[in-house]
Amino acid sequence: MKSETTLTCKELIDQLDDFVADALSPEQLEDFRLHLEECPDCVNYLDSYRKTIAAAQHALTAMPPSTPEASEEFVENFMSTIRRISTPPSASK
Amino acid sequence: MALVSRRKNGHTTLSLVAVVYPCQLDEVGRCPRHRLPSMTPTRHNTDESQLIDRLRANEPAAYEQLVRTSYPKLMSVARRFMRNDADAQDAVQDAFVSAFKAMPSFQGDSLLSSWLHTIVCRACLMKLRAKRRRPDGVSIDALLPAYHDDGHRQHPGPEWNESPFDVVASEETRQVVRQCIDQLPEEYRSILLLRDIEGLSNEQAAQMLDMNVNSLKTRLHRARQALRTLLEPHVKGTVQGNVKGSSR
Repeated sequence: MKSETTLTCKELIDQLDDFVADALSPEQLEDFRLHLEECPDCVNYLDSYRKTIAAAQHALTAMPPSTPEASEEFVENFMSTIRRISTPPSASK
Repeated sequence: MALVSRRKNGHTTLSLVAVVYPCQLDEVGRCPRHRLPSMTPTRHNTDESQLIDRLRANEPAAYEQLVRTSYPKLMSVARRFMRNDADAQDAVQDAFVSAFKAMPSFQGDSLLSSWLHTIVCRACLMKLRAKRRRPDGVSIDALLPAYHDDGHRQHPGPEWNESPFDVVASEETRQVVRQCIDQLPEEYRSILLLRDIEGLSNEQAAQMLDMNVNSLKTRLHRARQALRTLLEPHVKGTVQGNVKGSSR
């Protein structure tokens, strides 16, 4: 899609991360607006970019539960590890 | 801020509107993206202050309490990074040991849970680095948009208006998303996890990965674009589409 703005699709897409982070200047935002007004492909790309981030967040924060609690074996392994690596002050010399 | 497109009388108008995206709340009602150490008030409640004092005094019962209470949350984080529960459990074990070693230097300027969150992320990254899970995985370049010489995108693909990747997605859909994330080269996957899932800032993630912030931002953007390409074949109406990279 041709645009009357100086911003190409590539230039716009290269800045999408700053756009979604609200890190663009007002001038850059105006360039975005002018380009998107004439470029439905980039509007769609922006929409899909946002949905990708949201989908990743949701998919990974809503993972099926695993073992809800530490097993006794896990706790015992940890306790024995820290007993091994901690050196009492009286035994340091 | 978001640009919203509206069609009226054959014309498209765009306006900038503030958009509030719902947070994905954890089990205590906090959003992972908003519980960063730098953004979290450092007021420890009495119980936590007492626990920290006991941990600093190397009291074994305090460490046992720490493990039992923090394990579920740390395990949730580790399972996002690691491929199976055994590796995740190893990473959590490493994280607790690291916490034990670092406890004397814990300044208390962040919540204990935030501190442990950073430690378990670091432990997972170290494990992944050591495992070298897929040194020559999918090429990220093949998953990035292709452009014509004039800078306009080739193969625009379908609209995602009918995307199945909504917040209210089925477990089956979420599984598809997780599989696509797992296809990313590890250096990109890790950055995506740290920034978009674990809620670290660019600076925190860059420090954890020992790289500069600009490189991290570039890789994050590429990771998101690559994941978008991997998800696109699953969007309704893409079957006949000519999505770049879909023929991998």
